[in-house]
Amino acid sequence: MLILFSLAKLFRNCLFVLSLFSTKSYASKNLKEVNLYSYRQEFLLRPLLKAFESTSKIKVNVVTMKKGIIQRLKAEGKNSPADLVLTADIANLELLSKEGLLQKLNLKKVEKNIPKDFRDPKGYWVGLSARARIIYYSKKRVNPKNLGSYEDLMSKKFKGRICSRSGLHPYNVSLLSSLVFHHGEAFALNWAKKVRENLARKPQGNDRSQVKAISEGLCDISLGNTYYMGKMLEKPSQREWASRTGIFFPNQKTSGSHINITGVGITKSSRNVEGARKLVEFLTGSLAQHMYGQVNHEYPLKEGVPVSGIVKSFGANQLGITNGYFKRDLKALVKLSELRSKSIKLLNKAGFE
Amino acid sequence: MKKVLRLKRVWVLLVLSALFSLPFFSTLLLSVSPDEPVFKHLWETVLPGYIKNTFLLMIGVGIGSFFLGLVTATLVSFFKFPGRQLFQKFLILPLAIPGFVIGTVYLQFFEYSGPFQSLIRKLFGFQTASEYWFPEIASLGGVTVVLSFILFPYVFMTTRSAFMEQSQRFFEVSRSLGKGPIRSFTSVILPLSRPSLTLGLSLVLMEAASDFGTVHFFGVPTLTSGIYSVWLQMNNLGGAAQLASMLLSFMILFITLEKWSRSQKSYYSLKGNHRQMELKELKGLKGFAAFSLCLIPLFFGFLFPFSLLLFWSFSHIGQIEFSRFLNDLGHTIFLALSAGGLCLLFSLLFNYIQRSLGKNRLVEGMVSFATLGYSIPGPVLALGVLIPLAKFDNFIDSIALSLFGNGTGLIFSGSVAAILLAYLIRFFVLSYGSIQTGFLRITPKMDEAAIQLGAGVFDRVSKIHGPLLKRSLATSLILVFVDSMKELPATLMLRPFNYNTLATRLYELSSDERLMESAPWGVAIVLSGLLPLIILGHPFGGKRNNLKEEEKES
Repeated sequence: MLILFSLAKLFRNCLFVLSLFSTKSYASKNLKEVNLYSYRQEFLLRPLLKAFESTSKIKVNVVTMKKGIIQRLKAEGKNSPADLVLTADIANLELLSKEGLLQKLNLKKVEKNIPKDFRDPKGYWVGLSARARIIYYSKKRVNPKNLGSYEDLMSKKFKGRICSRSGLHPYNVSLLSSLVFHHGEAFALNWAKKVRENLARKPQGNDRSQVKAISEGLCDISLGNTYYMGKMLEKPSQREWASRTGIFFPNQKTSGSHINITGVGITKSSRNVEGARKLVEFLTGSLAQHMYGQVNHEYPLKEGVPVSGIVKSFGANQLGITNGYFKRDLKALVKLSELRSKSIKLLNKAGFE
Repeated sequence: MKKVLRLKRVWVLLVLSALFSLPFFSTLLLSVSPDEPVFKHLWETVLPGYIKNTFLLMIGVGIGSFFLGLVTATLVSFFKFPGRQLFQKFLILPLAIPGFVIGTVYLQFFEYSGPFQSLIRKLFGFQTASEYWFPEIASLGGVTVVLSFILFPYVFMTTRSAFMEQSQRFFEVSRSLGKGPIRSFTSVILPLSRPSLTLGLSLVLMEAASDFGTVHFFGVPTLTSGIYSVWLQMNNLGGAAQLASMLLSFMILFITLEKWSRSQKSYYSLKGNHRQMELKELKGLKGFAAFSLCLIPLFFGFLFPFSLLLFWSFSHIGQIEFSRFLNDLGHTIFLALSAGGLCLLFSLLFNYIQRSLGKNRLVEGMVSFATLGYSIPGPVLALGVLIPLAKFDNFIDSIALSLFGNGTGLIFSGSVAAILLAYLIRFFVLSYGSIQTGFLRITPKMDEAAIQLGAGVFDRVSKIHGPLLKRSLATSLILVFVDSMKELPATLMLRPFNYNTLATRLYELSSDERLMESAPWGVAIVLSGLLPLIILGHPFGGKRNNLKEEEKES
């Protein structure tokens, strides 16, 4: 009996020593830190987090992963050290909440900051910034008057003139989902097929590579996200490509240009809910929203926060666009998550790799 | 008593193999219950294309690396020509650069807007792409060529060390029996080197099949890309696991075929009979040809991409935050060293036990499972480590909670231990393979003789095995160290908070089209990859001197 008892004691001591190494020690004991899993890259986040750390005196620990955060959270379960998750796509926000990995925010300040369209109706996540997927075109070879809608890209007149990154990239999947939403699966499949046939080269690279290809004359148009253009215009080595390329906001007369948002949620397993809430409030607040606009060239979601000068110039010659503001496709936004799997299947069928 | 000991050893092997094949079995388990049946859809749409690309890639890269590796190894092993000494040292360098870096460098250099084609356009006055023909670099062909130049050193290394073991006498006997030099080479030397050649080739094939980064940049969808899109985008873990299981069964099929084809033979090299190969001197044009044949793979696999990285580094050196850089470097070296040590330790254990048990089907089966990790795509491996590890942690936590009312939290998952386990599983085969080829040099007869002379275990290990294995140990450490430095997908997914390695930082910067700013990190990876070569000595360097030293020691 005595032996059993001392064994149990030994076991407990072992566990105690082990737990000193455990991820738990990251969070619970130190309320002055919050832990963040982020789909967004660190260099996009760093300035924001630095500002938060200096005003709140709470340190933010980060793991950035472009892939696999949901799977990691699921595996870690209730002991996950993460307090918050930041995503680059509304579909992942919805998925996180569907998988039961988030807790309700219940933050009055946040509700005041961010309009209803960009908050989870159930209250599990909140959007932070938006971007549009628009058409990049060669200023030299394309008259923007001949551009119109995403649907137009199927037209034979664009044969051999379109460049694209992989069709299966989340940005393109998201756009196709909006087409499924507006026109149904059959149309979306046909669209993917026709656009693929119009490609000047095999899908490759990222959004910036397409701008480069346009500026070099390899193709005339491409789909791309707004903020990349801002980033490229700021960067000496990429400015030349970007300056030869224009931005056209499609579907302004119909459904509006396709948008997607980045957002944040607090995990169910969070041990520092208070700190996490402070960070969410901060990210939706004026300072952070301002930075989203000025530093990242995204569209801030808090009303009244201006976009950057570069973004203001987007679509300057396009009718209906003032100061970079355009008609947004808000209806499709909430449906993007549930249509994602279907859209990937359609892209597979269309052979749009 | 002996039987009990034997049984114990089998148990040790069994437990270790089970641990090493953890990702394999968890993948298999997951594939049985997909969240939503997706296989039929895949089969009707993209899967045949994925399979075709995977096969063609493996065949292409296999042939390419085999050819490059064999030619260069043959030249430096049997001939004397200008630069031979340097080549035998430097031909392994392509292994030190992460594949996705070389891939991006080549893409940027040769694509339409890259400097090469721009130059062509300027020279010939072309205006658009339609006016001239240039092969599409982002293609299956392109990625096959690039991967061959990156991966051939595996074949070169294993073949070179096999050739170094071979005695001039075999060759002479064969020649005296009337066979010409070429016939002697193909019918005596090559067959004797088969285990090493196969090891090199299978490393190449596994690497090609599980590569994600490079094929992704080249826009060539393989099974690995399929796994990504099904798992991470369709959020269908089970469906992805089905694809992963498919990839793994190809691997198992291949390994089994190879094992079966040489199952009847035992390979031991006969060191006692050793006489150094005499090198045939190649003069004039022939010498130049040999020089070029070695220079081409070294140039494309290392010199060219590395000089570009170096060049970019100098122009961006001012932008580095040094504290960050040192931090990343520290993490990387710590991980690579620990992984190298752990792999070495377990490989020795494995090899000793396996040796003591003699030829045994069960043991061989266990070894195959334990060495599968190398063929598992990084992200699948990461998940295969993460899920069971988190389960284990949560289990311990719940026990502690119910017993003592105080949970432990997650102990291993989300810590450096998880990364190390992933490295250990992934790179075990590199270490196991090099040590095994080392053990082939120690024939059972040598042990018997030593025992008869009254040598104990300690004497045998320190006086016979140690010196004879020295080079294999170094090779094992170097290979694991270098590969750990480059590892990306598993590190990205398993790392703790605020934790970066050189490779993760490099990836983060380069995936944002900031390859040039990331160059210093790339250079650091290459240079630290060279560290063990400098410290441990080159596996092929100063062979004759080593031999003399060994003789003196014994």
